[in-house]
Amino acid sequence: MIILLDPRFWAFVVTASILLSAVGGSTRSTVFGALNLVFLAVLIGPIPAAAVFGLALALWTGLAVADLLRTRGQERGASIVLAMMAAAVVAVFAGYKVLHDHGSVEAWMSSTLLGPDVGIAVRTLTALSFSYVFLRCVDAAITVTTGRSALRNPLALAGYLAPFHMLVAGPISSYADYFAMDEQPPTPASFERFAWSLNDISAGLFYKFAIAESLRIYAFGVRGGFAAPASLFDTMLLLVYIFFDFAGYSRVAVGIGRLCSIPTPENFNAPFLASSVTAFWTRWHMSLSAFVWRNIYIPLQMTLTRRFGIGRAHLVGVIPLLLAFGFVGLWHRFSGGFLLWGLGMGAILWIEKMVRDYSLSFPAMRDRKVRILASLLGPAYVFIVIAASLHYVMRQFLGI
Amino acid sequence: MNTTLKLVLLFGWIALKLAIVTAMLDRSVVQFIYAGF
Repeated sequence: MIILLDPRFWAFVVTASILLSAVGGSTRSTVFGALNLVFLAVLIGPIPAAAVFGLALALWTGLAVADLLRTRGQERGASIVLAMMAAAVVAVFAGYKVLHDHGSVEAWMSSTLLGPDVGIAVRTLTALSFSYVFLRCVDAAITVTTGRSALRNPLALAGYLAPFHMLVAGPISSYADYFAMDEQPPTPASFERFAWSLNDISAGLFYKFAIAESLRIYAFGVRGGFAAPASLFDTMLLLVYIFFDFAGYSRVAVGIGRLCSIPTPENFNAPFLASSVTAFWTRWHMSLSAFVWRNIYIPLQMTLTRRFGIGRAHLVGVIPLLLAFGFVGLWHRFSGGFLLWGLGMGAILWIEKMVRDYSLSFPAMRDRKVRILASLLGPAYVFIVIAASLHYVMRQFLGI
Repeated sequence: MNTTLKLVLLFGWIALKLAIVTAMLDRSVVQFIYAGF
């Protein structure tokens, strides 16, 4: 059953919004964490809820012990503890997914879904891909170890890792932004907040069940499902379908977050109006782009600029772009095809950056008419590039 | 525009979206629309 059609889901939304409206300060994230575990246990079962708490406990123990060792000047010991924590988190995570998807380790190892003779390392990395929870684990570990935000207790961490309203399609909230709620006073229920939350929720449901469903019915009939795209036109239809489906889920999550005062980032901002592929990625799945920018692109770009100097920043700028988008590709699926898709996307962004910087030296490019023309033709260029890349990656994914 | 009118419009808009969603969730409505294609 689709989780948004489960009446218990909406009962939890009402319960959380009432209980959390009275709680403010540092206990807020802990109260939500405890409530959330109960919700997960009822909605998807006690084993997934226990796995989420196990992840939070492994993460908390590792980060707390590493911090203690660091304050005593034992940097090497702290690094060993962090490595052990990473191994424990991967073990809990992959273990749960293996048992959930395959039933047993033997069945997982003998599965030929990824191809024959695939080693355990690739199988484990594949189990980690396409997971919002795993990215939140990474964000929490990086944010706490770099001292940007304090470590919270295991219950609060469990609430951050798998909030019930972000289960289906994210977004990936940043650790620092999520726990900013602990510095806020109680947010009593207000009619205005209720109305705007309901507006977001109804818009999300409309995207998902009216527009995306209509597209599916138009393309494949009442009982049909989206299948392998045979032509580029099919892929274009699939791209629009994915947008309304994914943006619908995300908008519902934003509405519930607003209603319960749980920080929930926006995930889409009219991506098909973007006039460059670079702008598209700041408007599509924004929380994933923000994660990659925060944790991969910016640190790498800064390191390389320091190493090679500001004069060569343009040339070396291609490396962080390729690595950031290579990661995005592999996150979607741990395979060569998706890695190539990500690297291609990184290369397009770099080329766009070079062209943009170069064209700025021509006064004609700053002309109002040229800018209007670019803003009109840009969205068509973006749509074709993204649809063509999706066409390639879908055919890779389906082995066509 | 006064506040009452804004609220009436907002809730009307919400009700319209939810009514269409409810209709789309009813397979017989979908079958009926699809038959018209």
